[in-house]
Amino acid sequence: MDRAAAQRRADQVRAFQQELVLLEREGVFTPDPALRHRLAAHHTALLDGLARQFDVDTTPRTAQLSLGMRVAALLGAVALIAAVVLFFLRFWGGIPVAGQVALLVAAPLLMLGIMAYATTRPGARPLAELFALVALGAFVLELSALQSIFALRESPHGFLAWGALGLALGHGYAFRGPGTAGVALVAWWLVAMLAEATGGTWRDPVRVPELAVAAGFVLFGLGMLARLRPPEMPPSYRLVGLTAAFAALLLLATSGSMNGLGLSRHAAEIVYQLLTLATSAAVIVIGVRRGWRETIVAGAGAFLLLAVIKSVDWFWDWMPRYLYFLTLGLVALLVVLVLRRWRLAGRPE
Amino acid sequence: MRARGWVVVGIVLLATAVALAEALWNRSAVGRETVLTDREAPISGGGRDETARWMRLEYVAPTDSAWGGWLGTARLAALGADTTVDAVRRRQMDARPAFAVLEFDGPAWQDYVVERIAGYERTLVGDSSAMRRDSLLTLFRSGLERDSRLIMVDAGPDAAALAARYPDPARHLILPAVVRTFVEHRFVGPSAPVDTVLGSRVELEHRRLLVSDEQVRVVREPSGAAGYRVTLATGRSHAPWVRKVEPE
Repeated sequence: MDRAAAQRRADQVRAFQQELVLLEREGVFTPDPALRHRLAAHHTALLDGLARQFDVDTTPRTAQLSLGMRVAALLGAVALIAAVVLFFLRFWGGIPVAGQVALLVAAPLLMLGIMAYATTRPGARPLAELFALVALGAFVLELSALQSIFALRESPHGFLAWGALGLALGHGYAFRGPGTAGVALVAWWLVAMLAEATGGTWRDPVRVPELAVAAGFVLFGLGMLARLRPPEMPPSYRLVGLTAAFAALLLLATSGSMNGLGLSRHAAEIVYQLLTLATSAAVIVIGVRRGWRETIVAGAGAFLLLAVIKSVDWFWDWMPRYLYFLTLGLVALLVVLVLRRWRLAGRPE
Repeated sequence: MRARGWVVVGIVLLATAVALAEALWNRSAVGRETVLTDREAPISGGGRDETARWMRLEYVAPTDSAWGGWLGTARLAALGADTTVDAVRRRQMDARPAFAVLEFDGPAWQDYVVERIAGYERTLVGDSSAMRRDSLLTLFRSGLERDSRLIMVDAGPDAAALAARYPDPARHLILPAVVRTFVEHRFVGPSAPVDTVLGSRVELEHRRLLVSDEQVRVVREPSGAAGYRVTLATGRSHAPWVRKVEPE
């Protein structure tokens, strides 16, 4: 059992307990005292075990506190990364090069050590994720500062190293924040390498935007794999993959001259507008069927962005402003009605 | 520590080792060495929030409004850039790794001075007072005497080929750079109001170089006010570093 499965089980137990109270109150079902006692004892032991082993939330109150801790942890991570960078800048002028290197290497290792310790403490998971983010930030600082100290040639491979650490933290410790950053960094590196391989340079990764589209959908495909563990990671692959793919598709749909297929500007824009429409619709359908919220958001976002961009192109100069916004509002209303119909269709008869 | 702990620590250590190995390999042999002055390599920094001190290379970069900019289409093609009109219309910007050649106090600097003074004299033609003209010109000349004498003269993809073409390290610096091309629009006249031109620009990858606290003492001491010499070295991978700072 992993943490996500443990949280699902804890939620089921909580829902069962609440429903049992209602059934008793409505006079539908009243368990005898011995059964009630056995059930209560079993659930208490089960929830205690899950909380100890997987650090899951076992009551609505702990769930709310966890959310608060996660928000505070994110803000704290940003502030601590800034503190690490500014601390280094404040003192490095008076430190010899060997000392600078030692300090730079020690910073991410120290943060990883604190993170590893926090993972062993009960209820300290958000704190552990905070230090994982700070470790990633310190690692970015380390390689960037080494490049400055030794005037090393600029290279895209730093993104691979940072992405690898993010992925290791995401897959190894089920931390969603560092994991998502890792997927994004490796995706950028991959697109940059594809640009190099096709005659361009890594400094211009969108030289052939179709490469970003392909890489984005490959990541989305990886995020669809049921085998991908832990369950915190697939949504990161799907979100980063779709964001990259749709950003590149929208670029091609509006600046067709950048296409790498040799099409004329006008032809490319039509082809990529149709492709964006078709893929965003397909992605929304996949998201609705599988219950993937980030997939639905990415698909609907791309669809609406294209609709807004193209409607400005087509109608802004041609119609009165009030009519333009009225049409846009009606289109949004139509989307809501279609989604409502889907929602009702999903209800039991 | 479990395996996942070793993996994250291993990634940090491996990336650090690769970066340090690259730095050590570069500095294991001095390829070229050039001595500049505080005109070309002023040292600054050491503030409250950023205590490091940096040497910043000051140089003159040529400009040309012809198609391909000052580098010209042949050099851009050698770097792998497609300079045809169709390609430029499709991709309006490009950036490629290269090596730049900077000439120190050579013929390019002499030509530049002559050209600048001639240009300034032309702007003073309308001035009626000869005395005022002479004093302004003297002021302009003394300004040029404080300027950097480094001029960018060439760029190419192969550092070895550039070193063969510019063999004197005392005169020519060869440094890692990025060549950027871009599209410029300019007004040319009522019949064809806008002309599209492919421009080029060469930027050094590291224009600022870190100077150690020990080296910088020379600049801070009272005698440092008279000026100083900076010895700039490049290594096996042509990455530069400051070897020495000495009083003039």
